[in-house]
Amino acid sequence: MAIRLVKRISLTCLVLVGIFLVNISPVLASAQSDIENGLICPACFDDGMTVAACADSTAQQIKEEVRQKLASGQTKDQIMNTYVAQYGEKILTSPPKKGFNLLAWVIPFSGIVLGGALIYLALSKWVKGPGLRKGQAKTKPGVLDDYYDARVEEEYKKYL
Amino acid sequence: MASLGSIGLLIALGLSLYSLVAFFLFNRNKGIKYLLSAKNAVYGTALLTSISVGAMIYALIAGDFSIEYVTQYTSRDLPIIYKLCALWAGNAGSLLFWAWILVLLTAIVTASKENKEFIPYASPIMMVVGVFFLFMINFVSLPFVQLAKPLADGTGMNPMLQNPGMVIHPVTLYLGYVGFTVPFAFAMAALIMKNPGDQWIKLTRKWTLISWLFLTLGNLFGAQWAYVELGWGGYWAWDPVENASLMPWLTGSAFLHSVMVQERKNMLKIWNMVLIITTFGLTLFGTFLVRSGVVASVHAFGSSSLGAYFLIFTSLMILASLYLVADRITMLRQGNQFESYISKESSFLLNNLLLVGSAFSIFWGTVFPIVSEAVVGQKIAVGIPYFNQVNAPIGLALVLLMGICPLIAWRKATLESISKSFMWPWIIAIVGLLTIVFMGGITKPYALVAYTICIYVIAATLQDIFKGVMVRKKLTGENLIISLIKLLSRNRRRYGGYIIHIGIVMMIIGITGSNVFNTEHVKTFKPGETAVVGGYTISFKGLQDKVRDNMEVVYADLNVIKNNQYLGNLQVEKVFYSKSEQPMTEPAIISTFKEDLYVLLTGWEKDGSVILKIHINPQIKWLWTGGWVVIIGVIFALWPGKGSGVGSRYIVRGEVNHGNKAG
Repeated sequence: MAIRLVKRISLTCLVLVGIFLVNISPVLASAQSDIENGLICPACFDDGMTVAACADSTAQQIKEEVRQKLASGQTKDQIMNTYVAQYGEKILTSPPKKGFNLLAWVIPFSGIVLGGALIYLALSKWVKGPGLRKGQAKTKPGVLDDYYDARVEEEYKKYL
Repeated sequence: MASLGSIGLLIALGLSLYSLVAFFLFNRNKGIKYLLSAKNAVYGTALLTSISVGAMIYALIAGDFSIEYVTQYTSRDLPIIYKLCALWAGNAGSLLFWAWILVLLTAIVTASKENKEFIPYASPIMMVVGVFFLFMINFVSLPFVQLAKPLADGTGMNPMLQNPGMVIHPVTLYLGYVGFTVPFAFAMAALIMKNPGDQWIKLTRKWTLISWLFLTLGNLFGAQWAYVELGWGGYWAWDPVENASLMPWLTGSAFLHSVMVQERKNMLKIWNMVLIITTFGLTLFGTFLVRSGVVASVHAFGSSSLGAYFLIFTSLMILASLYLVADRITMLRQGNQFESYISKESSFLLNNLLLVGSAFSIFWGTVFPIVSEAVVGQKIAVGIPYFNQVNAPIGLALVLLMGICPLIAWRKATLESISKSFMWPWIIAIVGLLTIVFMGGITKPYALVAYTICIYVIAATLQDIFKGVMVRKKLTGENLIISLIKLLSRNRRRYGGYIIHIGIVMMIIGITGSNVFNTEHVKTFKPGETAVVGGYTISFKGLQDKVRDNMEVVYADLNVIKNNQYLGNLQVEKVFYSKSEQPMTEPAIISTFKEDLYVLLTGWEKDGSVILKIHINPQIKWLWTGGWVVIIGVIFALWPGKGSGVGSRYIVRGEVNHGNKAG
């Protein structure tokens, strides 16, 4: 019973994480700020400052360009691609989800899944055999229950 | 002053080395006199380092421009508070400051009466770290370098650092970093002494919790500083250095939870050792990142050879600690057994998995540029979108656990009892969800998931407190208020934890709102013009200028009205510092629990019209308020006296003589 529940819970968690991963994308509000946060200011490659955070003129110019491109109907991906074509992938603040860079995205979640599996294995080692638990759970109500309840209540008061 | 400072540091290093030798001799049973001598050497180190720090502070405030460090970070017209803060503005000074906190803590620990048997081991371990820092400021990054010819004035402090954040953020963060040295040292001492119980955890609980609090505050004050100073409307950029301070916070949080399993059930001893070693290692790793220049960061102190020293020292410490754990591993064997898959202790395992998983994902993201460069030769950036997407699901799952774990009983929980305790919070959460969809008009899935979870956690926490009150009321016959007060104050550890949880949930609400619903407008205002932006009626009265301390300020004078209510006068500033070419853009903020109106002056025209950038950042105030709630929770839990102790311990049947037949 309990094992099944744990399995079910872990499965649900996995599905949930999966759904999140599939990207409920616009974590950030507008396409404008999404793009500004997605690009590094080309004048500040050394600092890794995003266009959104950077105060210098290059960043201001890119912000204005992005505003105009969005107004003219270009999508976020189109705009990002223009900048990647111009400056290369180093302008992106996050690695693209392909090739070697896929590892950046996959490893953290694999780590958690692996950790979860280890915990599951450890638990199944630590938890005592099921027979014992069943026997306890099914104890019949007895005459002494009232007495025990009263004792428990008495003990409880000491800690309140 | 310079010679006093540098001589002080040299003697301090000598004394700290001597204390190591003396502690070693005492531990080799050479007599109590060596212990006393070692302790005195520790106090002497603390005293002499304090003298050096005093000399540095004096030089900074008095403006002794014959010292290179003073000329690099101060100037004559710098306000006195920032002259003081210049102590931690640069590489050498901040290492001096770090070493000072560390030796002071070591002296306090050494002098304390409660943990006598640990001191001959814990104190020298802290001293080893102290020796490293003293070595660094004596030979690698020297604070007291004198110029051949004194300058008339210094170059001044970077304008970005001239903010109240500079006063409090580094101090709280360093206290947090350094504080974790104490539980680490005690853990190692416990291993060396072959005392594998939970004594070291109990002895250092206060230290751990207070260090954790300071780390929390350090991060929050840093976020707030970024919010009010950098002028991009955000507060957290997942910069490598920010990550470096978040990682030990996450593993430290995991440690605070998992030690409870050891205290109650005598399990997870190895895991707790690994967690405290990791946390300690990460506090040093952060310093390595800041000082080495291996990753691009806005916080970097400039690349220097310091990083290599830190990397080597950190690696040595971690390897030595892990060796010690491996060597004593038979002593750390598990005590009790788990009695069920579903129990509070197993829920702690999940909590640890997610906290450590999150720390690991941040670590991986932070070092990925280096990995990528080494493997495929391409230095790729890993920034905000990556960390947000990876950590948002982990974070939300963690928050969800906050609403589940406290409701699960120790040892063994049944499905019935769990579903019973989860029912009402879930109903409330669903009602809350429907309310925010239909009344609030919020439809973004991410926000809905986050808010529902937050409502659930708050409801579950309050329900648990309410249940306790009802039980107490029934048993003692007190009225509701007295029951509540007595229940909370007599189980302060538990309910302090609940208060902290509520604070964290408030922070999550703030993070969600400000990330999902922020909007940005850019508008040009002519003098006298009034416009409605994001629901606010903003009238621009005119462009003014004034002189303040060491800066010239140009500001736009604005009046803000919302819903026919006057909200106040805003002065949106561009600040020109005397020693800096680039002006600083200082935002003006009107903050409410609903949202922040955040206005920046980006430029002006000849005709007196101004270009304003207006951010509407919802719910940010929840983030800062949550931080205060966390402080209250920690103080509540730690307040000395009855009720702050650990709960009763669970023992297995075999450990009790007559327990064999019962149950």
